[in-house]
Amino acid sequence: MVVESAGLMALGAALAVGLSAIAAGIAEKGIGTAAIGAMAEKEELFGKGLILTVIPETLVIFGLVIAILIIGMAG
Amino acid sequence: MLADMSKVRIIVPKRLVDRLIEELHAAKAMHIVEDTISGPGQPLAASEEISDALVKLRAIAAQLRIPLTPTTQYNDLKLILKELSVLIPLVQKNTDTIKQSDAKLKELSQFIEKERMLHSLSLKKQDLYNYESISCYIGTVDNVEACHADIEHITRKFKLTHCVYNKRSHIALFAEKNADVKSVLANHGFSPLLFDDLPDIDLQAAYADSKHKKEAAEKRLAQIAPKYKNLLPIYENTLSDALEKAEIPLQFRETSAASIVYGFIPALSVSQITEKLQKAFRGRIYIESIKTGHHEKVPVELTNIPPVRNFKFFLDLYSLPKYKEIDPSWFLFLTFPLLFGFMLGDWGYGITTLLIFWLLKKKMPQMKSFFNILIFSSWATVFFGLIFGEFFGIEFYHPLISRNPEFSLMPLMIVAIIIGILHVNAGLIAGFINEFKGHGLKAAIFRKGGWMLLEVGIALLAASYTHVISLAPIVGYLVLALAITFLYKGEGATSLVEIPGIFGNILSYVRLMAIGLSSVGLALVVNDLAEGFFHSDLAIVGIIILVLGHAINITLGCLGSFLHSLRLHYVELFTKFYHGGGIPFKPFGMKNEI
Repeated sequence: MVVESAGLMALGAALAVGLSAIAAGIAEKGIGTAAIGAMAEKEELFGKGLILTVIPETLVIFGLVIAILIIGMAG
Repeated sequence: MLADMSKVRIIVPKRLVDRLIEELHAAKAMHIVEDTISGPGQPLAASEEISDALVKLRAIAAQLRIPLTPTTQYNDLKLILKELSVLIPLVQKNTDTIKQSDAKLKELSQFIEKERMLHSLSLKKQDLYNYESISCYIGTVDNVEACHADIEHITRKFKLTHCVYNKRSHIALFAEKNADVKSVLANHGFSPLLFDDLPDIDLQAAYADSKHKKEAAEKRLAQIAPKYKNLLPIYENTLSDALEKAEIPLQFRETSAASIVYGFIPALSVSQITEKLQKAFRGRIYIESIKTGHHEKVPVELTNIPPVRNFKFFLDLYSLPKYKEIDPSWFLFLTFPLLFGFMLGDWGYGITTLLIFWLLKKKMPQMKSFFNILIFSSWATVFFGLIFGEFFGIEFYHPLISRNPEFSLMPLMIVAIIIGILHVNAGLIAGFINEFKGHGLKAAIFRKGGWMLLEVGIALLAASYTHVISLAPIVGYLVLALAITFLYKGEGATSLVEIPGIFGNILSYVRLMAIGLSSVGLALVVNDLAEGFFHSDLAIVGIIILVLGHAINITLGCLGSFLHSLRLHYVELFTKFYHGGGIPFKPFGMKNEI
């Protein structure tokens, strides 16, 4: 198997986004569950719940930035 | 815009309280607040009777299966109460009869079952009891022959009849009183049936009698129902209004001679309402405007032009603005459709959704504002579709910005990030104005100005290091240091932790590109698949694939674009300036209008 640098870079970019997405998913799972539970008791908490739930999205964004930088390096 | 509210205090002599309640209810202009200093007042005397009648009315409406549709008609309260005092017991009596008959019928049918079972064993109830030396066992066993054989071993004096009933073997065993018989039966899984409670009456006749009673009661109810079909909603309307009026004194403050009412009236209507009340009470009323407390919750009424008013739907989902805040409806009106259109970006899809939502609006007029929002968004989709040059995924001409994955996507991403920077900074500017109005210029500069300086500092640093501008990096660092000091002074140490947050927020707008691309990709795939079929003989399959594929793509695209555009507003935009938590303006006397 010939290991090309372009292939490795593609793998790197994929791992960057994929793993950070899994991490964000795991993080938002617990927060989202709690937010929906709180909302079921008190409707006004929708806004706060939504904001707290999407806080971990910055993880994915950092991953995306790295992926784009890597692809930029390849091209 | 938020309507200006004046806090008003009205004082009347205690004996005129009824009149005041009627006048305020008719005026539909004052949001009454509870006076928290002295606790609740006394409800009017009739409130207990009215609320009792109202609860029972709702119960009999359910029993008569009459829907309590909203209505604007009223009848005379005293007549209604008199009528209900006759109607409610009548309906109750019949419903009770039906319930009792149902229970009796159930009981009787169980007895009839048992009687039938006895009959198939050729027995009657009298045969089972009053024996001196014989025990009687009736029940189910697993295996009749084995049981018979085992009993023969114990005694010769027995009679065993059996039958199959309801797919189980039933036996009737008459044997001399012998303890071993019981254990033998137990070995064969004997499960006894009891007949003590079987009454000595003609079961069939009793059953027919109960059924007759039930049907008579149901018929009486069915006769009553049509007479009141139109009247009950009117009764409910009158009663709930009367109850509202009777219970509002709970919010008043009372002295030995006077009643005091606190509330909010829109500033524009104050003089009109004051004049009206003064005329109605001929001077025996005292109305004054008072100052609101510093942290008092003033109710908010949004007054916007009709297109912008539709977007109150989003504020109801999230929370209404506080009294002194900027109303974000205009933000939502301008940017929500644009972000939606940017993500869906196909003028063929735009025209399709326009038609669909316009039709749905006609079918469901109660969700008018929601569909109006979607219609605005569809127009934006058409607009961006023309810019991107996509018609159901096909590019007919070379567009300004291309979403085709074959070309470079950098321009699109840069546009998305620029939109992000503009949106977030618009939010920061709104936040600056809010802070300025609420806490003064210094607080505004420290809190929101700090964020803006942060952006400038990072931009300067990036520009200096990549030699875009010939400025020494030290300038960028100085600006950055200044920004961090401002933030620390303005919002405290927690804001320093939030510094990466703002860049996360701006980069979050890259989803405008990402979701758009997914929509384009699906459209291209569907078109390729269908093209393959068109070149062969199965043109019809190609058409089916086109229709189904694009229908799914439109659904997914609408859903995704709506959600993400809304989320960008709620999370990225609102956190920059919006506090929320306002109470809606609910004037006394106004029905809940959707």
